[in-house]
Amino acid sequence: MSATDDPVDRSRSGRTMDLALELLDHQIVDREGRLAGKVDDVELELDLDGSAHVSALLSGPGVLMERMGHRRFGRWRQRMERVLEPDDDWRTRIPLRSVRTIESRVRVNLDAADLASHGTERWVGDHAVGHIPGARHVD
Amino acid sequence: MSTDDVAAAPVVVRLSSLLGRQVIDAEGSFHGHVVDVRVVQAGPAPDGTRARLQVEGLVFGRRGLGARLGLLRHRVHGPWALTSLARLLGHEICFVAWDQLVERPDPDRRAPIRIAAPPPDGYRTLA
Repeated sequence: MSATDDPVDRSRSGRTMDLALELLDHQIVDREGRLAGKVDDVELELDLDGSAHVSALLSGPGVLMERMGHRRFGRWRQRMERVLEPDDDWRTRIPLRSVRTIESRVRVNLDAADLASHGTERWVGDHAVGHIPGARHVD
Repeated sequence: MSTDDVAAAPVVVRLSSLLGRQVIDAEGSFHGHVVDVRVVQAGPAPDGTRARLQVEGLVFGRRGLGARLGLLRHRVHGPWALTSLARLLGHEICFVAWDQLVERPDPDRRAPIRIAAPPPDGYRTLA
């Protein structure tokens, strides 16, 4: 792994970042350079020693709804995403280890299709459009 | 899951649940609302492969017209009319280190953030 694969360049150790200003709502770009949604929230893990660190970025319509104050709908939407795709990881959560760089854009080591922002499109494709005769001829 | 597992389970809190919370000191005095959470790159994670973004502290201040005009984020250097306006409208924006929090923020309740009493020269100002 090169130094540039770290979420924050090691050469900039000690760099400070204000999360709401420099990370929230920023564009996420997947490993192929495709737009993959926005950073809708940030998960902080509180350590037993009293410190805290960033553990994951959160992205997806349910997360955004909850953040905008529609808590019940947002949480229901996130539950539905997990129910509909129980075999997959929770796609709204991007662990920090999957983040390559954080600059004006956030580059991740994931495919856009695997993230929650594309969840509805993917589900409709798999469960509706994919069953229309002739659909398998179109990629 | 055993009791030990529950005790060892990490507590997570979302950034959005911290933003906007009231900030009060140990004596109950109100100092504004949480404006941002500042993190610092603290070197690689325990697995040795990744940088770790450690929470350094909270940025807080009183919300008002100055904040809505963006005067909280950066110090206004001029021209003099704008510096006067900033002084008139903008309240100070302050920073408190994470270890100065009296108690860990509750992830499920938007209770005020309680911080240690201000030092004699006040909290560190950012703008």
